[in-house]
Amino acid sequence: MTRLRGIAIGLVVPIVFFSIWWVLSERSTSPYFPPLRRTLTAFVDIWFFARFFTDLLPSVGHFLSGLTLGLAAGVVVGTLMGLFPRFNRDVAPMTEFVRAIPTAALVPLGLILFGTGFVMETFLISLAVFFPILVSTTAGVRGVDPVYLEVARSYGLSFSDRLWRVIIPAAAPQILAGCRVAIAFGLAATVIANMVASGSGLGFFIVDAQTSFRLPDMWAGLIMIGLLGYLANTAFVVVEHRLLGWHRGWRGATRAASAA
Amino acid sequence: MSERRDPIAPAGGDVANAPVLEVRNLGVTYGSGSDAVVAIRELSFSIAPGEFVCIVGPSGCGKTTLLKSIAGLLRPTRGDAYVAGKRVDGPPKDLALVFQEYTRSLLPWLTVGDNVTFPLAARKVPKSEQLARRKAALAQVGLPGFDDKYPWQLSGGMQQRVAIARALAYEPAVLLMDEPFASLDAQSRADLEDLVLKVQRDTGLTVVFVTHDIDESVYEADRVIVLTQRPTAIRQILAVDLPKPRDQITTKALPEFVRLRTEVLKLIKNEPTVD
Ligand SMILES: Nc1ncnc2c1ncn2[C@@H]1O[C@H](COP(=O)(O)OP(=O)(O)O)[C@@H](O)[C@H]1O
Ligand SMILES: [Mg+2]
Repeated sequence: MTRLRGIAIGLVVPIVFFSIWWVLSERSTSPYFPPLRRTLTAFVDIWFFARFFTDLLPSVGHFLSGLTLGLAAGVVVGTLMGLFPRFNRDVAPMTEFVRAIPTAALVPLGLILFGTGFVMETFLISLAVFFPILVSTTAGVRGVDPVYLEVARSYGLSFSDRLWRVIIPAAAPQILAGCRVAIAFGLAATVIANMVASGSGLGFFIVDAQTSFRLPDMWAGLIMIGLLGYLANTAFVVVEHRLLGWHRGWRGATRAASAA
Repeated sequence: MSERRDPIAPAGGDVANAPVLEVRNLGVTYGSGSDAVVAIRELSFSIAPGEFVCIVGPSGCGKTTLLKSIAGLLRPTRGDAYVAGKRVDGPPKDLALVFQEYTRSLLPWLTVGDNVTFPLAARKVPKSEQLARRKAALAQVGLPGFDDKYPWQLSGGMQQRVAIARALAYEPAVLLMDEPFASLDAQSRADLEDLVLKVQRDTGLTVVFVTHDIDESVYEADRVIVLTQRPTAIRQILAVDLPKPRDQITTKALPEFVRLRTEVLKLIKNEPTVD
């Protein structure tokens, strides 16, 4: 009930936005801002037919594989860094250094290592995803309430039971917060990888449309990227809602208790 | 072994009645060098099966440190603890600890029921037995049917009941409790004191109950171990021969109760006692 209402309210703003865009652009003669009607026609032609297999699907595929790889690696390494302060101390200077390099600057390296195509793009995207999830997982694991760990130890839980039954669930809110940032970073990296280094994909398509002056196509590309980001985020929120129902209640209760 | 025993033997402690918990020359020092804090200088005592022993001492004297050493969470600097005859070297299987910080000792992502059973699940106790034990334990603490609630939906007193249920479902021989009711309101506290007494009587569990509340210690205990200020040693051990079952009103009005609490108070304040 309230979920449905939330979704309905969430749809109002985009509908209003697109309606205003439609009305204001309808009589536009500017080549830069074509009527939304034309942009949407282009959108359907391009993304449902002409470029579905050549550009849309590969981009989505690279995004998903890079995201999966980057999240998995980030959670594993982040957990290790959170669990073992010494490992953290040894590795952190290097991760801090690499983290500071913008994804775009890593494209040439990716090209040298992997050429163009699937491997290179997945590499770039997973690297962009890796660092936000690494940082939040490390913080989450390190921040687990020591009382939880003592309780688990006092009941004789083995290390792996403590990891899976206590540490990971306790760190889950932070890990998922990192996921959210990682998804945004991953999408940005997807577009950048396409733009700079390949002859296909969403990012390439936008640049190509712009340089060959197919501006409704460029707009259609932008809307597609926005839509993908929106879908990815919505999917994420649904998963988070399921996994972290307890967290909202618990936070509410601890806030109420500390306010009292 | 018997010459190492304390001057006051465990209540009902015949020679055949081997202690279920024994602490021998135990000392704990935190840190080293100039930063070293001697939390416990030296403690030795033993507790017979089925005894209810309260440990009182001023705040910061090392009561939590002592319990953690017995529970195998902390390696003592000197001496040893023995549970059911075995030297403590890691958390003993026969022992459960109820923590002082009840709001943080229950896992907020698990329901009440799962909080009670997660130690059993980790021990691979069969599912049906887990459920049976959890049902019995929640009923014992007066929370039947609360399985699907989350701990943060409950009051402080109820949360501590869940923590006690978890300990009971584990079926330990020794139950350690670290100032379990210190931050509860007076009514919940009295209710829980009576609950623990009843559970102890019904199950015959050995209970070691740490508190800094003198009335509470005399009301609950068969024996009270009074500790000194840090660096901690035993000030004195008192036998409590108040009739059972105890009652918040009548027991606390008994002259013997008043005498004992005054004596414990004097011991803690380090004043000379009558005896
Ligand atoms: N991890 C620790 N490191 C250093 N000192 C500690 C540590 N834990 C406790 N202490 C000190 O040891 C003493 C006893 O602490 P504790 O056992 O918690 O006392 P109590 O439970 O009786 O209040 C205190 O002075 C405390 O500051
Ligand atoms: Mg304490």
